[in-house]
Amino acid sequence: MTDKEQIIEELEKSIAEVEKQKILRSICDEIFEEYDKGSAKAVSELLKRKINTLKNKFDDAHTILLKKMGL
Amino acid sequence: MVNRWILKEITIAGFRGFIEPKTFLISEPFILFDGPQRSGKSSTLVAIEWGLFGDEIAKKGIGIDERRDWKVRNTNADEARVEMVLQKGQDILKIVRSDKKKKGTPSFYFELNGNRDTDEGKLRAMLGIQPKDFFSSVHLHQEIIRALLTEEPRVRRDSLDRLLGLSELRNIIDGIKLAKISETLNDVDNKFGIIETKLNAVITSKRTEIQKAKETGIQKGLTSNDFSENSARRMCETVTNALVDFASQSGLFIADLPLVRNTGEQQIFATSAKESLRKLRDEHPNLRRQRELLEKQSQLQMVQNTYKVLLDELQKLDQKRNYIHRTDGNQEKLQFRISNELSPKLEDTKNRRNEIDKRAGTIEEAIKYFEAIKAPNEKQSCPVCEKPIDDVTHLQMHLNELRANLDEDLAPIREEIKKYEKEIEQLEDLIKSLDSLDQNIAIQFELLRKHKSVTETALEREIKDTEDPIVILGVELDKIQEDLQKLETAVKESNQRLNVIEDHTFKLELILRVLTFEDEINDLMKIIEKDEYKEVKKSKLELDEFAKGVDLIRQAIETILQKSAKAKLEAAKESIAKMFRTLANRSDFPDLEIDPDSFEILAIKGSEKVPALSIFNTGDLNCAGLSVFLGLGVAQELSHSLGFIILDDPSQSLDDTHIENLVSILNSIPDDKQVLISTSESDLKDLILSKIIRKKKRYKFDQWSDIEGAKPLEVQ
Repeated sequence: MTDKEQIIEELEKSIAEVEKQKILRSICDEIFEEYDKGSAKAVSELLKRKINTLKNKFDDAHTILLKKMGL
Repeated sequence: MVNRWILKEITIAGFRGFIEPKTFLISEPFILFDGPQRSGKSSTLVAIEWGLFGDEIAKKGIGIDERRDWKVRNTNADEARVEMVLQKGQDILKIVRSDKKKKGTPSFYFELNGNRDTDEGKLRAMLGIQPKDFFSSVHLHQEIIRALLTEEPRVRRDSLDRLLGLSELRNIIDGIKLAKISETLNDVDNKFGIIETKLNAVITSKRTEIQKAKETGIQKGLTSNDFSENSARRMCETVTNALVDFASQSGLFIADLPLVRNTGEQQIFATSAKESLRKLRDEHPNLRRQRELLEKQSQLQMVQNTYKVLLDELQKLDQKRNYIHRTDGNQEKLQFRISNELSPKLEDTKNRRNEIDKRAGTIEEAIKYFEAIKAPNEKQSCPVCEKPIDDVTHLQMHLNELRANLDEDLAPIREEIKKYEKEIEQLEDLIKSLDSLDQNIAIQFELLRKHKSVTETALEREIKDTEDPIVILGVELDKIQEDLQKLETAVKESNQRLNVIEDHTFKLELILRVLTFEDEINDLMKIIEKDEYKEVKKSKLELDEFAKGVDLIRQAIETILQKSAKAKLEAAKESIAKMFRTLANRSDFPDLEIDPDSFEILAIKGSEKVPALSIFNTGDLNCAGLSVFLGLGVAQELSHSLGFIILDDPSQSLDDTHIENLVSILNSIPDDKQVLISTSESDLKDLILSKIIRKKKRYKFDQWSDIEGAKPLEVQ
């Protein structure tokens, strides 16, 4: 069993929901793919891209809410 | 040796210490390269690395300082070339790498059972090893051993990771940490927290505004019950009725006022009502007439004042001129006095003076003559006959007496002349003054004439020469004042009515301000029910979920890494300890192990475990490093597919006993690991040849030469 397979098995132990398992497996695949292409930095860049996309979405919603509040 | 790749053959040309091509047939399980220092042994072993990984073995990341600025190609060769043949069961792998002097780009290919490929990544995948791991688990290098024993925990951990094949997982964990997801989460948490803080601040501010509006309203006569929508509606109706009544009674038109069904419409109403009020004030006949009269009054007062100033000035000038006329006469009379009276007298008196002056003139000339003489004591000549004059001083004295007598006669005459001259001058000044007055009076008349025209425009009528403009203006001003007084009562009444409407409108605005702020506060209180708030919360949840997922992945990787490390260390534990016992042979701390949690190398005596760095000397540390490398290197759990290990001069820093022990250890290496070892130590060489029981092949290196390069010789 490869390291990645063991990791996914470990994840499935801690998460019961199948849908969430799928999501984590997908992130895990991306992380390993990105590492194969580059290095630790490539993994970091991948995660930063993903978290920044979510952060921007939050920031936009936050700005709209503050406007609604008259701020 | 069936499951891993072992070396069968290697041909080296133009690489580092090699110039001419040399082929090593190395299919035996134990290969010895011996010879003096700098004879090409290390070049042979390094050629294997270069063949496998190319120039990457000289990169900084590899961690071998001596490889910086490394020259691959021998300066006497046109091409560096390494050809290797490896075997795993029936599979034959040929690897060829070269670097030519002229063409620049190094060439590389490999053939698996005759199928050629040039993908370096594929080769590494097939061998299951990266350059860094090769240095740690295949090729024992002193710098790697030193890293194992360093006091820097991170370097030690990295080194052990490489030995244990855990670098990839560790690097991924580092990559996850490097993304600093927790910082983003903190930022988002703070922003989310701020929503409530800001919400409270806005509500407090609006409540303050409500309080202020209510206080002002109560001062204006509102009660606390008046701050309601119904009350606002009633106030709107009151304002509407008052405005409409006032407009109709004044004969004025105002636009229809908007509906007042809710607070928003009532606010629009308040604005429209204020506009209507402004219009009524502007257009109401009484108010407009009052404004017009006041403007006219101000204008005529200004005209009248200017008139008075101009007239006053003219009168002053005229009075001055009349006074001179009365006291001294006009210009003609004054000129007559000068010409017929004073000038003849002056002339006559001057003639008398001239008579006396003739004599006085002669005396004066004589006095000047003698005064001009530089040395009065010298004898002088007479200015007339040129005969010598005996006593000049005496003569001067007589001349001065004569002048004094004449001066006495002239004094009253001179006084008389002065008097006439002064009188003439005074009269001439008077003439000038009269001329100036005439001129200024003419100017003043002109100004008055022009101002009369201005006055006629202001009064909108002609003023005859026989009329007094000031009086006419006075009459007109009286009339305006009378009209203003008549208007005053009506204006006052209109203003009062409009002020009342304005007051109602102001109260309406206060009520609306309170109602609006109350609505806004209610809206803010219900913000968590709004879509905008739900969107923020949803996006935050997504972020939290992602971060949580990544953290779970990190934890899973940590778990697998630890499990893997523990499993491998457990598997190698005995062989590491055994090798250390044999190699170091210490009586105080005979055993060695690696803590699988802290990755600390520990020296062991019974149940006592001590960090090796705190008690071992350099020789012991080298033994420890060798034991860890060999213990892990021979463990079956190694993750790569290479079936050989390389030991380059492993006896450095080891004493004779340690060297003997090392040979014993080499004998204990399992048969499925091919061993390639180089040494410049004859003791180690002899021991290997005499004590190593596995089949061996020996290559003896002669002293390296500039022309031939490395000179290995196969020894049977």
